[in-house]
Amino acid sequence: MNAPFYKFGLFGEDASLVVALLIGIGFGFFLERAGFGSARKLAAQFYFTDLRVFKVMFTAIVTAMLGVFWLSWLGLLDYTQVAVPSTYLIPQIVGGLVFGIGFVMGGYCPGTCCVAAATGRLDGFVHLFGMISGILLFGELFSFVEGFYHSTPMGRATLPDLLQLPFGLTIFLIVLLALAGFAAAEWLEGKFAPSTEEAGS
Amino acid sequence: MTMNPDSEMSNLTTPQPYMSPYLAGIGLGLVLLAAFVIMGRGLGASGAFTSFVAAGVGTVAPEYARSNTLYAEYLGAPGTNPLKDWLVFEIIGVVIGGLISGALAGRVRRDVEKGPRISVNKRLVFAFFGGGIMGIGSKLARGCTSGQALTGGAMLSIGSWAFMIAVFASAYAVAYLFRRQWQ
Amino acid sequence: MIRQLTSLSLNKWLALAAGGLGVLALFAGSPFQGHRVTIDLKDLARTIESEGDHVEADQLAERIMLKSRMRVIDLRDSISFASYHIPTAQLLSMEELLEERSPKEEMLVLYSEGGIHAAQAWMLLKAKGLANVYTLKGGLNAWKEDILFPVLSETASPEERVLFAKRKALSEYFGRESLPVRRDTTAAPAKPRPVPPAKVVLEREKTRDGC
Repeated sequence: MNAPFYKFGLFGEDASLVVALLIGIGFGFFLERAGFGSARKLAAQFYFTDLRVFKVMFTAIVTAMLGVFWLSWLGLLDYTQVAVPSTYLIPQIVGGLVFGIGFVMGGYCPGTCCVAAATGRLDGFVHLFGMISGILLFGELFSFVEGFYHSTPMGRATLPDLLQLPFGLTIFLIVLLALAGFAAAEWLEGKFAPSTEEAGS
Repeated sequence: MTMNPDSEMSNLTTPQPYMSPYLAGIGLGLVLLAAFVIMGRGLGASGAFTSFVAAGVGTVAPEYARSNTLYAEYLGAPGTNPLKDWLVFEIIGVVIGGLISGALAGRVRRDVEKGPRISVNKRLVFAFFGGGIMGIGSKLARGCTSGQALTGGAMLSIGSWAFMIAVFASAYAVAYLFRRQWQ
Repeated sequence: MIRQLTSLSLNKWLALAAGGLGVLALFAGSPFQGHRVTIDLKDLARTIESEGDHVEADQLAERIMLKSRMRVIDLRDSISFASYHIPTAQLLSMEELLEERSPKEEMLVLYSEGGIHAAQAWMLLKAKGLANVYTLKGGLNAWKEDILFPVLSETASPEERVLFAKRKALSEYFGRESLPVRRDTTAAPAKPRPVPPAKVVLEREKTRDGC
């Protein structure tokens, strides 16, 4: 098996768009199942009443991370062919800080507002429209931030490189961190969740 | 999870409770892994909207759009359709997938997600400006929760983890200011 | 034991599975350091075109004098190495060089007799992902001509004369160590001006694989 299939030319660009549609359907399906079509569920994360966002995100990260690691280990997946978002450290941190404000204010993130809009939530639709406006504004002002946008480039930089740790150890530490985080999340929910809400799900 | 009691019940069926977050997370993780294995790339969302914006500007003012380096990147080679893009098709899938899941669970209904202490109009204003701020943030960070946090997180990208930590830090920092919107 | 396992909740099962795969990952070693690599061809082409792939003999000499942090690697055979090598250089064969696990950011300067071997090795190390690799332009031949035995032509321009004076000083410095022919020089050793390390900031090809 030569994976990633697309990078090894098993199918062309047109077929890749069909794949995109199917993967998108899966993505949207599980986002909705997770409760991410509801801004209240998403925002609850930041008031400690329902830590779904954290649980879902970290479970997904751990699942995919373990999948990539073990498939590569078995020789089924060529890790070097899988795209890693390039790091531009400072713009990404500043972007994250800005993004977080938008998250609490708007209640959605770019993917989840599509799901919210698709399931009839008017605020999801408005959020989507606001986001497009924000991107347009950014595009119009791009020449002013372009220098900053390209600053602190680090290329394909990963945590094992940064920490100078073996890959396996990094994976282990992140799994450990995630499990500890889940345990903490369950405990926090027990403390903060309003009594009207049923425990667990 | 219980649903908010004051939400209207336009559907005949009662909305089903949401999936266990861990199972949903595994589902998302497997979709992401499928993207890695089949395409060699991860998921994304904000990129698709940048393609929409670039295509829109490109239709109104083609020469100007080409001269803007951000739009130019999303417009691709001259003569190609910027909307014939992987992420654009993926986001169309997201809408369809969300609709399927919502319909199966009886959760599709016209509604505005908000707390009881805020008016609908105010909530929509917040949603619009929150969306705008998020749009700017996601472009600055070259991605969003899908493209950076999930994809880059699973691939252990340094910038993606920094982004993720920054998002949570700032969201928790300002959450108190917006509590009336939700609680 | 079995009863305990079956009575675990689904979440605990999942946690156990994730934990297990994580622990095993500790012992699995890295699956990512194979010999199959991807090269960013455009990136390399740009580096070569912008002359970011080599250092001049003068630059190398000054860096050695300043005891800057770097490793100089001699890719010739051991006999040639024994008869003369650039001070601080280390003899390595191509294969040994590939097996080396040096930090990604460490500065490496490769040289061979004429430069072809060094350039080939440069390619391999770049493919391995090392960022700070350079070849000595012109190889050891250039080193000998420029540093060890600098020659001043009759029709030299003032700039060439300044350069020659500097090279004389370098020649004096390096000649003391292992110069086969001792040369007399009257020029006072000029204080070499510190050369900023040739840092190449590489911006990767804009791929839109993410958002």
